[in-house]
Amino acid sequence: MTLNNTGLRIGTAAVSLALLATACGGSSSGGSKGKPVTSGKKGGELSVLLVGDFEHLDPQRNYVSSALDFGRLLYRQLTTYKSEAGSAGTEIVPDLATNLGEPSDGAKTWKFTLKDGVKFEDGTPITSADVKWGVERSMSALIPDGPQYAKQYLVGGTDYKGPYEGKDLASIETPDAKTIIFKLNAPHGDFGYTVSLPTFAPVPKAKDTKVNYDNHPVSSGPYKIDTYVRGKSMTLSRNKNWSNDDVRKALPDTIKVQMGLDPAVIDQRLIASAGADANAIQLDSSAQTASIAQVKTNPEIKARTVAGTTGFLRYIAMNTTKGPLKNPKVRQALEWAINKTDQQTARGGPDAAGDIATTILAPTVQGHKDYNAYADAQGDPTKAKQLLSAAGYPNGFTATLEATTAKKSQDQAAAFQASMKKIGVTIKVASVDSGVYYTTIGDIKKEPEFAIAAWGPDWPSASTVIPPLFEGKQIVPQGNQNFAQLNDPATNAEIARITALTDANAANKAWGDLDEKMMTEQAPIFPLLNDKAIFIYGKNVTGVFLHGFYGEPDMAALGVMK
Amino acid sequence: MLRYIIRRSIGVVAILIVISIITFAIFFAYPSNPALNACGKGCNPDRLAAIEKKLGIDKPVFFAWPPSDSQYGKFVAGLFVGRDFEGGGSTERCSAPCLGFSFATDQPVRPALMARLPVTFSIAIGAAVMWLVFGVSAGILSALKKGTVFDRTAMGIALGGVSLPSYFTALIALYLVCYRLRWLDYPTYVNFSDDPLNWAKNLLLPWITLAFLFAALYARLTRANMLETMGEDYIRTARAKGLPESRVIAKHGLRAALTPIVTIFGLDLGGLLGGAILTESVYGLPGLGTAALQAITKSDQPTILGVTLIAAFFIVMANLIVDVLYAFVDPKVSYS
Repeated sequence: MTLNNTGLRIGTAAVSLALLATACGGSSSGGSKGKPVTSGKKGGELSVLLVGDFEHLDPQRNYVSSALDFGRLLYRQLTTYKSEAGSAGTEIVPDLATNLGEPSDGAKTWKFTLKDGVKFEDGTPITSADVKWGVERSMSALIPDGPQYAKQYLVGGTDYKGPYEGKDLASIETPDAKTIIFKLNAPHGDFGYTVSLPTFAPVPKAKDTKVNYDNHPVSSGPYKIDTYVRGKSMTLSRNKNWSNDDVRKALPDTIKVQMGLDPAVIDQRLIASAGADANAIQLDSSAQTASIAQVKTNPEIKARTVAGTTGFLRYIAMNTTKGPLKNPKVRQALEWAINKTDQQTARGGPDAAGDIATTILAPTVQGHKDYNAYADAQGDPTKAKQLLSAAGYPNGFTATLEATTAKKSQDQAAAFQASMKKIGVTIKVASVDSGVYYTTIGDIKKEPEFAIAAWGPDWPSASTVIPPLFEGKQIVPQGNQNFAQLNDPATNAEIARITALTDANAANKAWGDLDEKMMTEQAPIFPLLNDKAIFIYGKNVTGVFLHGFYGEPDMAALGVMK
Repeated sequence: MLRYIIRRSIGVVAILIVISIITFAIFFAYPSNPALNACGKGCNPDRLAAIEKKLGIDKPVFFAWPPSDSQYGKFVAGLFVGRDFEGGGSTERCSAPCLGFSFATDQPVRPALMARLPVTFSIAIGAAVMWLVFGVSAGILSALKKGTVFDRTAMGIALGGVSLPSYFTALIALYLVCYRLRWLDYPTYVNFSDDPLNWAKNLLLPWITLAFLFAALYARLTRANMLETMGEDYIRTARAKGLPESRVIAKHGLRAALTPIVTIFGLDLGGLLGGAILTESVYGLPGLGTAALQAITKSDQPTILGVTLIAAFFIVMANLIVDVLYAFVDPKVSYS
């Protein structure tokens, strides 16, 4: 999944906006520091203050963290995440299905059975045909923007153009109204996680309004949309036909969303917590750098915040096909030189920017292995210069870093220039507008030696981080996301081996080992920061914690004191 | 006069066509490919082509044969006869005058923007009344009481108003009025027809913010014009003829001094009707300005183009109206 639509949650529009272009992975959390006030009482109206509109609420197009979190109120998938903070929140539980799936044929076939009594908002029973229709429509060009795992994983998915042209996808079988079977083109031991994506939410064929479904997805969750004026407002009320759900608490009677607000004003309103704002929370923006000082120094306000890591890794990619960076020894030398504390400062300091990262896999991704192959956060320019000389560049070299025009990106670029200057490497900064940033660095011919980027998993598995970022076959001429352009045969072979493993524990360990091996031997990126966010909420809001996977307040758990 | 208006109206259309071509060239020749963004991970050429077709960006931007086959040709045709958007086995109709479909919401751009016009109109008209009343009055009084405490105070405040960006003024106003003093709730837009009192109450701060900025400018401009006019020979002549001072000021001084004010007022109001981006976004008011901002952050070119054309329309129309009003305000001007 991507960051929020405005990206202001992490304090910069530029890089995060560009993340939309990459449709990269999701956010997970490192646990909440705020103590949730839990009332467990039903009733009242929760207010959600947004900077922008939801990118998409059509379940098959929903791929942005805040919209995915909000989507928990409107639809259910075959599986979903527990409503928990920390690592517990990264665990999946059955949602519409009775279990986490029954794999067979070496995890190439997955069978799910739907629960009894589950219904859409109009009272129509949810059937396996509705789930099949939803998955099939995700492959239509009319319904773009969403994750494409179904298209990639299912037999025949690559050539399938969606159900609107009159054909169904034979690799999704629905032998009866409660059973759905997926035939995959390769083993995927973590397919139970894949079906937690809203791609696998049911859509009733009779009520599929195609592109207009985005305005009113038919609810299978605890709330239904009453009004939705794009870019302005939305109101939700209870879906009286929702049942048999152990995850979503669905406490408020109504939920009101106000869109198009300034992020600084959202902070101000939540800090004031006056009137109706006492029942309010922010979702697609987090506390701005200017507000954090006020939050930290006022105990009353601090008690109304929740903070933690989001699961996104901020990094600088080294283009392994360019000049001196073709040599792994050079890349390793540069790893010793970078001052990550300066990068952290450039993005607003530890509270606003996040924790220093040393690994590719964020701490919340299963398989994360804690190691540091290089210097401490300040870097070691002396050792870096020695290694650079040994690699054949005693006088350094000149290279280009691509950055966006946004202030934080420019500050990061300046900090990177300073780090590299200490070892004789001159960095020229090429700046482009955030709207075209990922199109620029995603063009393998245009990408310079270095590029600032960020990534998060689509589900908390390394399989949604390491293959898309470092597997050779993922390199495409345009829209490329392997920004290191790494095509190392040994790494490729290991990725293929691990992907085929059906033992989750063995796979997780292997991913962690591969992470360390890649960073030690190939050094394709500078891991910089494990992204962090602070959310403020009103006095009456209850049940607030940073969800273990979404990295945001769990919408499914919130309530208000009436 | 009628011939003049017709001739200028044709000019307005020509200007709008030129603006649409330039805007189209800027936004659609932009190196970003919205189809590539929408296609996402695992994108293959077939799917990319289908999404490009759905977004209507699969054709050349300008140069195609027949010309109606280019993106711009289709856009212009859509303005007059509407157009169909195809893709994924479905066709969506966009009726004339069609400004295209939003890349972000898949909704037709024109109705979405029209729904926001009342908000922008409410902000612009209210603020305009406020800045005209306060700005012009302060300017006249300052000119007539040149060098007094009133003059210095008014011009000092005016200097502040001109110098402070509306974004800053708006945030300070919110902080003081809504956060510290809690005199008002944070603004939310209420339809005038639903509740006129609440409509005004919620728009008070945005009006003051814009009026503070513009009134300052108008006060300084009016003062300068009045001082210049009141020093003219014909004013001395009027006084010498024994006309009462009030009549000298109102009939001979003010009328001449206000001519440039009318010009600038038309342009300012026209510009504001195209959306006060900063003021709308700080106050969270869903007008054309916030639509433009949201569209820019999402690289939603059709919406950006739509807002640009609407803003351009208001500005050129305001210009035309100002030129026509000249005939009434300035006796030296005649279009006959």
